[in-house]
Amino acid sequence: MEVIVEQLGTTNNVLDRHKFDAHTLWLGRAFDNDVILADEHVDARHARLTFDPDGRLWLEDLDSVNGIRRPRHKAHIERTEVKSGEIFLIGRSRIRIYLGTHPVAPAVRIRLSEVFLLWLGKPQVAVTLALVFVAAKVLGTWLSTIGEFRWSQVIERNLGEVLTFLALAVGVYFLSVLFRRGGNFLAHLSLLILVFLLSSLLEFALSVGFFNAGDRWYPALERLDAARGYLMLFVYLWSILYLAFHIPLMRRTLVSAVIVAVIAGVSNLPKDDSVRRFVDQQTFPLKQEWLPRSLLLVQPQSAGKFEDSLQEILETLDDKRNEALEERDEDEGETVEDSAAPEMPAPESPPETEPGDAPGEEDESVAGRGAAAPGAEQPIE
Amino acid sequence: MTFSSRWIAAGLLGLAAVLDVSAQSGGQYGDRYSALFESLRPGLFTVEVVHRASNNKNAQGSAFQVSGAGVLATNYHVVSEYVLDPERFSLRYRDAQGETGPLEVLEVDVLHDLALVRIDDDLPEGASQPFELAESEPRMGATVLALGNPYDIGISLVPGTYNGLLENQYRKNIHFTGALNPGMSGGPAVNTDGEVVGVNVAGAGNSVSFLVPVAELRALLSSVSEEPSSLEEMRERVVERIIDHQAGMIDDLVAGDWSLEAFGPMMIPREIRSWLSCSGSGSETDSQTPWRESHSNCTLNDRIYLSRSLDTGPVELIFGWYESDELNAFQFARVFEQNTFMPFNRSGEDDVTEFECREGWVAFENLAPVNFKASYCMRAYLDYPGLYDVLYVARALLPDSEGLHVHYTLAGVGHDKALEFHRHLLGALSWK
Repeated sequence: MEVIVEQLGTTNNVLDRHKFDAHTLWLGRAFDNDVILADEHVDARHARLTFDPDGRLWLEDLDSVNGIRRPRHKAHIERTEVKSGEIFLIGRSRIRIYLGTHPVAPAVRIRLSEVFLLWLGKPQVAVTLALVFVAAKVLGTWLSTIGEFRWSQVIERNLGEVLTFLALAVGVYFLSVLFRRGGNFLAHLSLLILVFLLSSLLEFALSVGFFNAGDRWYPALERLDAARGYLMLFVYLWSILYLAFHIPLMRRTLVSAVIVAVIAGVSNLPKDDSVRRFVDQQTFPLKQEWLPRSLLLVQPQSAGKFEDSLQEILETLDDKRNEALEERDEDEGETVEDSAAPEMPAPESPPETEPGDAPGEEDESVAGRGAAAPGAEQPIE
Repeated sequence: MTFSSRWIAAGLLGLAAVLDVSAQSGGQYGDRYSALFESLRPGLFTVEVVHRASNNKNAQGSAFQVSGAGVLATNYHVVSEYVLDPERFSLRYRDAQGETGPLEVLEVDVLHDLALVRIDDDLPEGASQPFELAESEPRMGATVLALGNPYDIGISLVPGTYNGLLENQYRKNIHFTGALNPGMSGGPAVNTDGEVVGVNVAGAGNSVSFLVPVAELRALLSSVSEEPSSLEEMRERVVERIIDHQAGMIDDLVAGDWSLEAFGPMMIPREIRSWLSCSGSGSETDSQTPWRESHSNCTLNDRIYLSRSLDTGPVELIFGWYESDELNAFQFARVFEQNTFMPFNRSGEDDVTEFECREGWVAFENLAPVNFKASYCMRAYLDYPGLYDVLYVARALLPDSEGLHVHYTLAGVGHDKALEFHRHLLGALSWK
């Protein structure tokens, strides 16, 4: 009769595995046992596994100091029938007992994505990616520097990002060690760099899009730009859940999707947009994205066609005007109630004028506002 | 003019004003003005806009009697709060004796910042002498006396000189050298015979002040009927008049062929009308800004007062040219995109809608083969349906790190007229 005894860690990870073909097995700290448990809370001869004539397996306590229990149960076991796959605590050691006939799950197909993620952990891959990262940072800094380029700028501008990456990789590494899944620091670091490079590439592609596009495409491009961040977060989480925690495909896909959805939801909560509206009234509201003229890939429209499209603005403005009027009426309803109480208008200072203004450049209205006389004299009524 | 020479000019003007006053403070001139002042005083009034709920004075200006029937002339900006919101504000006068009473608005002319109001109850005693309106324009340098109630400290007389009409305005006001202060708005400016030559309207500091010519007041008086229009009708007419006026201004602007001047690689319009004021600016390459830029900036800074937070009417026509020998194409694009474009007129949060824009790459036949990214933006006025502000920018990158932008703003215009200006301007441009 075949019995498999596994010694487990605290998270039920297998530390050691023994296979026996015998009727009786002895478990204890003494060296003449079949399963030797190096645990000071285990008796020299602590327990015995025996098959009865019907082929059933029994676990028996041999009057030990700390006894036998099942995890999460207080009751000590004197003698019990063992079901294949059951876990017991002997002293403070954790063992799992299988029968040789215990079925196993079908083989998991090796996934390319997982092979790729593990490949990222190779030192030569990590070093190559790190070099590409540095090159990209230097290039990016050079292209966005207007004026004299200094190497120290590359460090100044990117130090924060690099430290964040390192801290994140170290953090995930320690988490994975903590959960005893075996950390892979280089893979974490490579993954971060890869996600960053991918994101930068997408960002550049989008800016080419903005540069070429007209206003009709801006909303779609803006949504893509927002999606880019969430996509990168998803890819990173999905990979980390495999690399650091060995979570299977379906579960990690689900977990990553839920986390990204929650973050997206929180960051898109409705907020007061009155500040944005005021800015939109006062400034040119469109996206400003300029790139070298060689990246202009679209055919321009004729001036006449562009003018034809302007008629639509009037209709949109009509709607906007009606909306704004309704909103203002609501606001005014509130302020009328407020002003029922007598209020003192703040005396306004007389218009300030700069000496030497050219005539007509700075016309100031000379209507008296309030009754503030120069030198705070009281008005003569 | 440089900054320092402006200061000197301002100082000289101030000195001249002091000498002027001291020369007139004694002798026969002083006596003559005091007699005139006494004779005109009964026709002068203070106008107050009162917040109904708190009974507090919200704004104060001056007014003067222009007919025996108790009709007073003042500025639109003095009474505008009442016209725009008669439920929150009321309007009252105060005469030389301190008697007060309600006022009604007869007619307004926002274009010239004028309003006619009428004393609602029986005329106060001694106020039956309306001002005479001058038939002819004063000579340059002639003495003009501005009357009003500055800072509400009492009716005052301010002597100054007539300096002709302002050339850099489309609606030409009188340039008056004399100190107009807040509270004097709406008061009369008279010649030494006591005839009105203009209405006090604005000051730019250091005795540089502006009057509305009396001709505009005469036109308003002749258009007014016995029965006052409702305030709503008046507001509707405001939109019509502004649209008509701006259409006339644009017609004037686009009439005939423009003579163009070279600007970078382009031929552009500059001082095409006397009422456009043009200036140029530029910067040279240095280590912090390794590019050159020049700007041509023509403006009509002639604003129509609509409310405390809103004005309209000004025009702005700006060209920018950038070039660099040192920057690569990416770096140059970064420089080029830093520009911001803003509306020229003043507006508060509840006056206008957000801008609505069309943007895209456009090929102009006269500017081939360069393509421009053009942005045409409009916003609507909430209280003046049919009135829009237009903001336009067209930008192009040329080979060898050069860039150009064409930018204009129009305020208080109708859509069709704005498009007419747009076509004319873009059609007129050409390469050198």
